Amino acid sequence: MNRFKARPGIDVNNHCYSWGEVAKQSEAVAKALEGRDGEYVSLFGYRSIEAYTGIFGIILAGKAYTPLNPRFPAERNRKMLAASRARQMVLTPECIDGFRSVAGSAENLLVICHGGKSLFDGLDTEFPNHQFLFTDPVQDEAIVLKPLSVDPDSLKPVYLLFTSGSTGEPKGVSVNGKNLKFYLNYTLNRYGISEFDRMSQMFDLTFDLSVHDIFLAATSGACLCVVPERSLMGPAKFIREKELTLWFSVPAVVMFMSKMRMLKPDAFPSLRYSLFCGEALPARSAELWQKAASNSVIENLYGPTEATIAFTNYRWDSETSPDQSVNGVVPIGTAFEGLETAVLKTDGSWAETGEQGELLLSGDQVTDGYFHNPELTGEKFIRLDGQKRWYRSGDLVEEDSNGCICYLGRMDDQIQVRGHRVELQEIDQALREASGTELAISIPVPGEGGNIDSIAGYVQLTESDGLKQSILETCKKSLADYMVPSDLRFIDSFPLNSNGKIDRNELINRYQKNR
Amino acid sequence: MDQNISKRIITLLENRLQLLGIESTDVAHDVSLFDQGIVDSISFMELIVSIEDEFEVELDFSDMEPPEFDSIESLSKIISDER
Repeated sequence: MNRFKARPGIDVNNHCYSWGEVAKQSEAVAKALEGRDGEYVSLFGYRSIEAYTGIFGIILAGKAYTPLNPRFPAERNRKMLAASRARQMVLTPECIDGFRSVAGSAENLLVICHGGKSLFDGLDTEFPNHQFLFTDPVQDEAIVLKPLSVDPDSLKPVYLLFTSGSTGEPKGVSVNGKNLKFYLNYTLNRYGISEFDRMSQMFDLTFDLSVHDIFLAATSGACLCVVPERSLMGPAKFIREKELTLWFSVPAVVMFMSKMRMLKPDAFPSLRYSLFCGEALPARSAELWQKAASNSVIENLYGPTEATIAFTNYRWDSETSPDQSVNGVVPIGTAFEGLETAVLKTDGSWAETGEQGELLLSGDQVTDGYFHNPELTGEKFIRLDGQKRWYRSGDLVEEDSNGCICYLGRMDDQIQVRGHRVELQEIDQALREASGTELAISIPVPGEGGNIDSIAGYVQLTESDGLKQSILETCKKSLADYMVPSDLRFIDSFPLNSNGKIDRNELINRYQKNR
Repeated sequence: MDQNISKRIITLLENRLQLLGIESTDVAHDVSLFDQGIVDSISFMELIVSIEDEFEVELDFSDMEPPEFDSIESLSKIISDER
């Protein structure tokens, strides 16, 4: 950060902070954490300067951050906090209400209040089981700013994130210095990112794609432009006003912006690169975006949290790519140089070109496994061919004759809703609890372009006044907003498949016929 | 005129309000529909599509940012300007 002291660092909430300013605020957090026990520090912040300097401060103190999200239901945040075993938390002013909703049940924490001191008034008397500390702004202009380095050889964790688990318990994935450094080096080099770039920051901190935005900006000196919550759906004006040069979002944003007529020809001339990740990229979306971002190279990225942000890429070409797309979906391409992919058939043999199978990933970006969950780690991280360690992605793919990987769908009941990974069983479980019947199931509802738009629920109950609402209200208490069914149907008896289980596919068919 | 447009927008939201158990009379006209928890991004898109059908207009949001278009009041204004 030192090199870029005077350069614009983070543009957030209508204020642009220089990297020097960012470093000073980060240093204040690092100082408060110095010498404390434990590897992981919880971070409760949302789209504010304090949230980002909180992350950098935690890293500067030699610790890893594990974020909570004020947009998640309290129960989910409570579970993540407990599972992370963090003993300290960096709390920012915009998340004080969120903190109140998790603090009661949390084991005693050292809470580092980062931001205007008076905003935290009264928390200490409200929660006597926790200790509170305030960051002191570093005043000394001559302070030597420590570079924010991610040690490439370090097996020490940098961040811990949680993904949806089938039992309703979030699964932790911890990413270390070696994993992240590989990603950063490759990406910095591929896109030639410099201090003159202006990068979008669309993703919530609990989504690992935000790590791309934040850490690439901090290591290259580019300006991180944080999209305000209200503009997330239609950020056209934001892209133009901030003159963004690098774009990174889920593909769903393209369809939204198109419907709102925000994708005029040459609407975003400043963009050099547009990256999409998190769910299948429809060829139609790539075409629409290319017309609006006419100077931009478009790339489709693919990768699970377990293998650090993204693992493969595919460069869109308006001439050839439409024909190369399968079912209207842009290929996910090939592994980053230095990483490896393979396709495993269900019979345990390697797939030939054109044969379908599960995508396996190997290389420096593959993480150590699930946090404190050796059983699941053993299941998903396997050794084949002697020593090589592979992560089983659970994604169904095939390789075309150019060696390019095409995404076909999931091997299991895991789906992507607007870029978020969702296990349908987790929603089934919430529906069962909310409805008081075991006979409850969720189904994905496909939208335009084949991606999943939303979730619908089915329960075997007689409909009564207000029941629908009360079941959905209860679901809201334990599920993140993108997981809550947007529709609930009552059914007399469920269709069963040959195994005597509820036939999810039959329900999907019925739902499609009766939307 | 504007009153009438607002009423028709709320009619278009009826299914959504029913699902959420919100009375149409409880919808604030000058507060973001997102902030009131009435729409999310998907249902907002659906609302835009049904507004375009209902009022036979084409809405162009390319130079706008919320809150310029996310409340009943701001949508009514955009629709009446378009017509």
